Amino acid sequence: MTSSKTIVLRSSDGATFEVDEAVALHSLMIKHRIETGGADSTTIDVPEVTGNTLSKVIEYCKKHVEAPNSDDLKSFDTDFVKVDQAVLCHLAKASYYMNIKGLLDLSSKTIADMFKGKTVEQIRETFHIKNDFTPEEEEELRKENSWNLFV
Amino acid sequence: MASDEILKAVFPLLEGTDLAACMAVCKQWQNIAQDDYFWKCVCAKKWPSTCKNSPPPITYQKLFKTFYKRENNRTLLPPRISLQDLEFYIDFWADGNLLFSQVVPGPALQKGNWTPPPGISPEYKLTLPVKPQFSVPYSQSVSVSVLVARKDTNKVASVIHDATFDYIERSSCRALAYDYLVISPAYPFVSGIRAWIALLFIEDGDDGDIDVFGIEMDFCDAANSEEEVLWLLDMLDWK
Repeated sequence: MTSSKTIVLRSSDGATFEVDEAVALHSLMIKHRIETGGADSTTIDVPEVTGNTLSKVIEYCKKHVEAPNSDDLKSFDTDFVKVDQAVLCHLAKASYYMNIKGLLDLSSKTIADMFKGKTVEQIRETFHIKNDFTPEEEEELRKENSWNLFV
Repeated sequence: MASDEILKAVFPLLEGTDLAACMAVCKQWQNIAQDDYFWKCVCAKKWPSTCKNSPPPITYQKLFKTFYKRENNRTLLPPRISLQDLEFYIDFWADGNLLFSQVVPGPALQKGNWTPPPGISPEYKLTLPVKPQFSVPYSQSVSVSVLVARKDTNKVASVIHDATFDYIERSSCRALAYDYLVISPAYPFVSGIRAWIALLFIEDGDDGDIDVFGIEMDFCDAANSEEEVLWLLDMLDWK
């Protein structure tokens, strides 16, 4: 039994997406907004998320709401996170803000797996992090981490 | 890119070694990864019992880093005495006759103080040239006693008590004797460590005598460096 009511979600860059209310409610943040927003809340702003990411998030919610018991849900999830690191991080951030536990768990686990066995340098490269330690601080860290093979 | 929220969602899922690597990536990551909560997550995977009820007396971070793998090489603490603090009383007898009797200060026994004739092996041994050299008929039974005194506490201990040179190694020109060390009761469960003493000699061809030119003492059962020997001597039953 699907509700015919739709919600419009607006991303940070102004893109709008019309989704079934049931799908939108998969995000607990949106659920809360609707429940506290009054009868006229048909357009919800999601300023923390860009259009590209929001469209992917909606895709996830749609699948999980419309076919939660389907056999291919697992493979859907596996394929869903086969994206580059930047998109993955955006998804994680969005799922955090929009309070979508399943997606947060999925994306966090995928990101966590990217760390396995990497050295500090490799981690910086993967996530494009700038090293802001001074040479002295780095030396100190190297000494502290002498117990650890991967540093 | 990696905002605090994502890190906080990802860190609990990491292995301890990966989390430790994160602490060295950049300052933001270091700040977040230091939170013992994430280390509790790490310990929960390895030792779930440590996360039940009250926490252990050390931080989860320290717990993981200390115990995550079996400790293999343990470095010795610096010994409490040096050769400077010690004096050795060395006496050799042959069938009741005194062959050699000297008080030897520790530093005189230090390896490398003299150059032995070629062919002597390089393990850690306390060595002493025997001057003047003495000769012993091969047939006689030679025995030795070694006592040691320490200047820091003014006490004496026995290293070798009346051991005979039963074992002759002609190929390396050594006569060997040993005795089991008497360790202080402050160190229970330590036993079976011997002091070995060797007479270094040259065979005097014709008259069946051996000419002793040097002495070597070692504790190879347990100690193979100067530091280890000093620790071992420190553990004797000093009175």
